Amino acid sequence: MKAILETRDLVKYYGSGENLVKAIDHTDIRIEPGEFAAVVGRSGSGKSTLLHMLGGLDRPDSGQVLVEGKDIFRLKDDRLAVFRRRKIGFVFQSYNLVPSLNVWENIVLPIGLDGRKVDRDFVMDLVERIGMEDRLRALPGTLSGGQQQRVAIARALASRPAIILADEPTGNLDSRTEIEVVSLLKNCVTEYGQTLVMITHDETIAQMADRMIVIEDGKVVQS
Amino acid sequence: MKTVTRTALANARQNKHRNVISGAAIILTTLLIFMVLTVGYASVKVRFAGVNAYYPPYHAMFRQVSEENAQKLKSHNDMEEVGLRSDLGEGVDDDSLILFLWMDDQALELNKITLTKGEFPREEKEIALPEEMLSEYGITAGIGDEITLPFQLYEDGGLGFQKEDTFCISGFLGGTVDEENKAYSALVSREYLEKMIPRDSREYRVMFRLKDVGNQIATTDLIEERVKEIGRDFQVSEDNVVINTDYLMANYTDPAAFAAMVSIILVVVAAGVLTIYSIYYVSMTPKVQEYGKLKAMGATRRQIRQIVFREGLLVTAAALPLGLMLGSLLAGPVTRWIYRLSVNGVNADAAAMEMNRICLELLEKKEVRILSGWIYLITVIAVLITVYLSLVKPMRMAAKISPVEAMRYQGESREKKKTRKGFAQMSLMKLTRANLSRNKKRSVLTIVTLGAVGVLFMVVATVLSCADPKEIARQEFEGDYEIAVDSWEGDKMNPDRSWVNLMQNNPLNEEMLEKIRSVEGVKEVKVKTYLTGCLADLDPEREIVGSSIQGLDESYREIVEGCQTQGSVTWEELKAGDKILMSDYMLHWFPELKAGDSVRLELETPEGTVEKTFEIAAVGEYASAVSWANFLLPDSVLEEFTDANLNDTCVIWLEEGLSAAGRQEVFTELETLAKESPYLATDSYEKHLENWETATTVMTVLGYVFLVILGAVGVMNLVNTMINSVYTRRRELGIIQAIGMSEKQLVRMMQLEGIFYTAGTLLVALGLGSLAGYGVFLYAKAENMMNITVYHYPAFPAVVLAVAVAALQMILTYAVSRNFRRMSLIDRIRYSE
Amino acid sequence: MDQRKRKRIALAAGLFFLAFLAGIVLTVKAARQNYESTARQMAALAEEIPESEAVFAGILGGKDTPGKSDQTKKGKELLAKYGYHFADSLRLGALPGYAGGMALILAAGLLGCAAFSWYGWKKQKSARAQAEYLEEKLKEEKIRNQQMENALRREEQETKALITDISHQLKTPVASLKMSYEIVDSTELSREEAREFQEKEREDVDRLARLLEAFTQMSKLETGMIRLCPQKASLQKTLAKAVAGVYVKAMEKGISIETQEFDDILICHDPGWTAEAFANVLDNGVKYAPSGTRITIRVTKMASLVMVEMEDEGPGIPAKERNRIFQRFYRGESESVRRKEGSGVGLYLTRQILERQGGTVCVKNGGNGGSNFVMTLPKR
Repeated sequence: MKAILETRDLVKYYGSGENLVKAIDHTDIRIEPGEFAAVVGRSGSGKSTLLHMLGGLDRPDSGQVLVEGKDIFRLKDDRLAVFRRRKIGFVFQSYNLVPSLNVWENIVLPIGLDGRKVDRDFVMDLVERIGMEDRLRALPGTLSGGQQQRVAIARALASRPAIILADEPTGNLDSRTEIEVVSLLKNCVTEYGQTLVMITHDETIAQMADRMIVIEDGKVVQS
Repeated sequence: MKTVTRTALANARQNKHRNVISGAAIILTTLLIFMVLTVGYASVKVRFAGVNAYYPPYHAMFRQVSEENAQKLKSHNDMEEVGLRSDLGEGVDDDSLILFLWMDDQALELNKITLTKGEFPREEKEIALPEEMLSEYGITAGIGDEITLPFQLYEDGGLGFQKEDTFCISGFLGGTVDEENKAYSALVSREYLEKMIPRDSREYRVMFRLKDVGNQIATTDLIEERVKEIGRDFQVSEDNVVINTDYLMANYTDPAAFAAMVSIILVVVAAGVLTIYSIYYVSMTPKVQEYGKLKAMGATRRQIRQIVFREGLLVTAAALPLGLMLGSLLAGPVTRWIYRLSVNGVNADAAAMEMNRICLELLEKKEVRILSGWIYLITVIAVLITVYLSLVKPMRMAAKISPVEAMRYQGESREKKKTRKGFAQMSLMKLTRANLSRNKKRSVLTIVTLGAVGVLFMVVATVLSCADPKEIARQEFEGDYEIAVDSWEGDKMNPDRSWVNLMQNNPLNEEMLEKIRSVEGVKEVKVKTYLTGCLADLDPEREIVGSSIQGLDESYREIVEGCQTQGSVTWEELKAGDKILMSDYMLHWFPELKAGDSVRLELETPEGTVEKTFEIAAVGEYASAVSWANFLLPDSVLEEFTDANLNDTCVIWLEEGLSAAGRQEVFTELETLAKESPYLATDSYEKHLENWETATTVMTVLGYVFLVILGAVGVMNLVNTMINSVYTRRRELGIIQAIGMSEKQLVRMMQLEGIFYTAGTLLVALGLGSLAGYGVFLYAKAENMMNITVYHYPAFPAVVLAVAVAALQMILTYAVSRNFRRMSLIDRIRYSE
Repeated sequence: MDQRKRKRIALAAGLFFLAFLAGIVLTVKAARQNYESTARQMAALAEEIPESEAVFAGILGGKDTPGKSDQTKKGKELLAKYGYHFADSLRLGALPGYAGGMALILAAGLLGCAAFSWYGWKKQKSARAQAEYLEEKLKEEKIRNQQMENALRREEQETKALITDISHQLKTPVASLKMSYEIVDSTELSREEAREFQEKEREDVDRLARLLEAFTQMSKLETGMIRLCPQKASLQKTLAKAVAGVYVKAMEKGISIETQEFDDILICHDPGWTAEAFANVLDNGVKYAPSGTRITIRVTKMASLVMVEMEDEGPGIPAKERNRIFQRFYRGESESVRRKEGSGVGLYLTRQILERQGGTVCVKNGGNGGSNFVMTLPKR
């Protein structure tokens, strides 16, 4: 069974000497296709850095990140971007959306950047799932935090990537909305057979995952 | 207090890039304002100084003043400087005029008599004369030598018997001698005057400057009045009052030119101000965020204001002096260079050339101060005010909203838009469009600023390309060469120049015409006749215009019939003799005249003044090449007024196909013919052409230099906008890249934005600019400025503009995107407020 | 495709032919020009020296005189003497015009080719990109299929594990029963002792029965024998059903179940199984909460789902167990929990049922020290 996401001896250090911060310290992770993995750890433990590496947003000092068996950091910048576009959907903690585009446009942006035509039925289905069908033309500035995150999720799902990476997507939300957002994510991901890696500090949320990866000081402590 | 300053300093250091751009803009604007003001003012100053150096600086002169009155006038209170001159008599010579006269020291000064060698005559028999005069007499002598000269003294209103006397040369007089009308003045001593002319017969010319006349603008009318008043007191008849109009007119500035200068200055200042303002406006977002932070830390409103000011002032304090220094260094050379250009051109007018030469000399000898204090003051004030105004806005914004909002400030969204129609499919193009429409105000401001510069460019370019020297020269000059009778009216010092006089012994007679026709290379010769006088009812004193009529032969029929703008008249009707064609130029002075009116003309002929009332059958618009006169008639009509020879101008066409050398040969021959009489003047098409070519060169250079500086200012603006638009959207762009926009797409997006700005700017510049250019052309045509009549679209400059703008935009995009991409993706996303 | 290609070839051929024709026309024109110029020369020469007319005709007609090469040189020198060079001959006549014309045609042709090839190249590129994209998608499909296979295989293994588990679990009460009746059989017991054993036996049988029931349910769910039939049904009714199931037990223990009022909503779910899921949670709460406490049920309608919270005032669930309580047969670490009767499958079932309908379940700390079970179901 091939892992869909894998890191091998990943290393990322910041600073030097006294200021050396070992964000990722020789980490090996395997994530199977279709898994919902929660990455937990205290702030500063290197969770975000790890996620960024997985998504190809940042280059490691050494080690490999394999997506579907391919070492993504051997790709050139442009190919990496294409890869990100098609394989990965990102959900960040905040400022996910482009302020000058409305809800619909934000959702179909990755598809548009890829030069593809939008599958209207599929996207409308997503929109209905997140319950935003009557706010398609709204600008992000008029949406609440929860609504913004839901739109972000829809955007992450719209291009049907194989992997969804979420960096504390519920960090700014109240507990109820938190659960809603995570439920939604989990639901969609299961239905479309996608893999979900989510960083969270909330252990309630972590419950809902198939698997918890605990990071401490850049190392995987428990898996 | 110190903390505030320290914060301001730290801020300034942090925003180094932004402040460098603002600083550069301030420098350029300062430079521009300063240069324009200084060069303009200096040119004017030099002109006045030149005038004062060239023309005799007296305001008026009284003639035939008795000895007693002359002495009295010398001590008149209203007079600043009084000089006396008395003419003894004339020398005997065939082809030149030699005057024997005496001048006192003030007169020598006022008339600018200079010595090349030796001294002015003091002893009785001493004489000072121009060296060239000796060669007239065929004598060679030096200072201290004795010469004998024949002359006739003035007696009873005429010349007495020829006498001879021996003189001792005390000095040689300087000054240029007019080759065509050879006139020499020989100075004798006071004693000699007293000896030769009895007291009662002595007549003086009294030249003087009035005391309370301003240096620059003084109405000739007031001066004339005052002078006449004084004259009356001293029994000087009005005929003997001569106003030095040349000098006064040269000191008088044309209001149109003045207005033009003022408007240029305003434009420059506005452009500079606009740029500085827009630079600060565009970088307002990050500034407001900073201020929010400060506020959150507990800074009071006043402290924030101070910080803002000090930061802005720091930049200004560095940039302003730099700009002023640069300007001070450049002002002198630039002014000199402009004058040098105009001197190198060939002018038709000897006097104007001389003027320019003198001006250049003054400049080079640094006798005229170019830099003046008040210009510095104005520039500094203007720049400071602008900087202040541009800083006020962000400050007020930050003061109004809460610290948190200020920190999250993303840009003005005056109308809180709730929804957006949007697109169904997204693409890079559509993303760019959405970005641009988000902050419409800023985009528009940038385009307008740049476009304004572009419009100016197009206007100047239009004017310059419409001012085709060849066309203008052709407008002014028919044919290839011209020999004309050099007459002018109202010159009391040279009454022989009046037309009524010259027509009695017209040098342009049949003999001359024959000679002209027989010159090899001359193909065709046309003669225009002329008659003048005054408009009896409208302007009997000839203060504004006279009733000049040009008589044309049959070959001008088409032009006469085709140039009519009001009313209509045929050649035959004009030949009848009661109708007349009037120039539209007359309408400037007498706008109430129209076709159908009658006008009474008093025409001067040797037989006396002839009065005739014509009906203005039509008003026509004809080029100065056809005639400068106010009225046109067939020459047959004019002939009926007098028997005298009315030939005024002889226009000559050369054979086609002559080489340049061949043409020059013909010109030389014709010139020799013209020299036969001192009353004939020559002119050629080449002269006009060269004149205009020089003028346009100067204008072109000036115009484009001015525009280049403006352009630089506009470029600053663009640079700032682009940089800003990218940096304030760091996070957003980072996220879009995280979701899959490749670097290439990012660059494409920036390029698309740049293209948008370019296209917008070009649209405004070329579109509006072409229209504005056409408008200015129409205005110039109506006002008869520079004789512009035909519209040429400045295609080449337009292409250059388009290419320059496009290239600039591409380079900028490339530079900005390169810089931006150096930041890693994560840093972009992590950019926190 | 074929027709298009044919058309394109035809077009290209046509253009080429036209160009060729134009070339011929131009050449003919040039030749005629030459001929006319020769004629003019002839006339001029004849006029000048009529006697040598015939000689001129010969020369101009092309009858060469011997010594061709020096003739050329001599001629050129002579012409040069009078200022006539090769460059001038180029400028003469309409030759420049024709040259220009030919150049234009050539340029147009090249431009056309360039445009064509560029267009073709672009098409190729987009086709290639499309191919790549489809390849990627294919790969993903493969992986997904792989996933499904793995899932199936896992299920198989799970079933096997399940059977092992069941047999394991069953062993205990069965063994106990066996031991019990062996003792009764073999030993003389007092009345009390016999009743004790009877009690124990009853307990064991009860336990067996319960276990069997739970196993049946679980296995049905696990092996997919019973499918969930989601239909649009009233949530209120489903909840009511769940509450009704545990009401009696709750009453007996003195625990009140309070449902906060909410507007009913029709959601897509299997009423039977969902009620079962709810009931299990309630059951849990009733089992472990002390008497006199309250279980509160709250229903919140969110944007995309409905949230059902069940909060009890029981002992709560320690943090590290929260994830594991939903695992099969997990009964907790603490003794007090273990002592209570239970199969350990209730919560596991709840999770399965809810998750299969697109919902979720998790547990948080309740307000009064107890636990708050938060369950969600999608609205659609």
